[in-house]
Amino acid sequence: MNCNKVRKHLSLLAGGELDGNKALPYREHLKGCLTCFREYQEYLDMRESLRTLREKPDLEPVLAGLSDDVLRRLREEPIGPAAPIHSSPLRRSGLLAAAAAVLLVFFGAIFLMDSFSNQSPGPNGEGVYTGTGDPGGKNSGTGNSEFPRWNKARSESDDEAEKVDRRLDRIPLTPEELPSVQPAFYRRGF
Amino acid sequence: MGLGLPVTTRTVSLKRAMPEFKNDADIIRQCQKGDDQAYVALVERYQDKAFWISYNMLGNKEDARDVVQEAFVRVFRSISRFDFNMSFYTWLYRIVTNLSIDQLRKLTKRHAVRIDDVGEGPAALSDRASPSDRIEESELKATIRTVLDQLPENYKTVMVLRDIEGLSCKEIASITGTSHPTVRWRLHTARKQFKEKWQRYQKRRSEKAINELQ
Repeated sequence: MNCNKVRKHLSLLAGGELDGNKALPYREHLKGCLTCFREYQEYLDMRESLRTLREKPDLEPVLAGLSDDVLRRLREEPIGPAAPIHSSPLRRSGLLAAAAAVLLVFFGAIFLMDSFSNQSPGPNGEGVYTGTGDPGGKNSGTGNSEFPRWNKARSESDDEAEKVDRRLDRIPLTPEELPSVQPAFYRRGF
Repeated sequence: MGLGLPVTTRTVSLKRAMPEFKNDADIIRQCQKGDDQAYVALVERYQDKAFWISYNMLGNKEDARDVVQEAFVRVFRSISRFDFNMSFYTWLYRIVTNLSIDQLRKLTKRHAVRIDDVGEGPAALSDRASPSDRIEESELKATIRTVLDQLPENYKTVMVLRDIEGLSCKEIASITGTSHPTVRWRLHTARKQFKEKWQRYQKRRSEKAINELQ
């Protein structure tokens, strides 16, 4: 057993939370490791110091009349439904986490909806943004205002490609009808 | 029967003839019937322990007393719904612990954890020790409380319940509403943090003492 593992359990060993069988390998280690033993001793000293708070004198003057005070409050305050027993800290933190998750989902949904509305093609069939552009630049204000330059370029190249596709769909009959994008030797003829 | 008499008259009569109750369940059944003597018996049975738990968390006897009083009021308001399969004291201590944590938060906000009060508190001095021992003991307790106050509240809770009040990990799990491994993990972390803070505090104190001497 190595020192790192032992040190993780030293406080429990000193506090008596490890029972006999579980404690045995740790105790064996302590016999041969002075560093761990010193730390163990520190935990024992700390435990002894804390125990000084256990010595309790008579509480008579402090708690005198407590039961009467309790009964008086029960009698005087409106009985109604019982006061809710306070939720544990664990439950409180769970509720906080749930509230945070709901808020996160809510704002996430708003953000996504906003993003989708920006990404949807404009009225001229402009393309979608994929990460480059000119946000807030001089080209803003043309359809998809955030990234107009990119959309413009995309739009032109798409139009050109469509024209080429339309021409290529037909079988070229004459050299004049061949698209300009064809290789030069093809335009010149065979 | 049941909270009808003026307080002063009732107190006198209760002290004259307090019946013997067998166990908690017996007392609680009487409480459910509205028996004042059963209420008093239950308070007297658990007030000390409840007070010390709260006092060790808060470090102030007035606040601790208020917490205990509020805890008993809440318990009695819900006593008709008490589940006899459960342990009464873990229920009570859970309420005391949670109310103490709430009080601790208020105090932390006001920066008013009155450490000065600790030295004069009921646990401050024991009669048998010599004057110098008593001063030393009082200082030690004040230091312990100062360091305890620096711990996060859930770590402080398990340390108070285990290392000062001596409850078992199983009982602490029941009181804090957590699992046994969680209690052990919190204990480990709490003690580790306490040790580090303790050593840092002692180091600062000794450095300060040396500077004062120079």
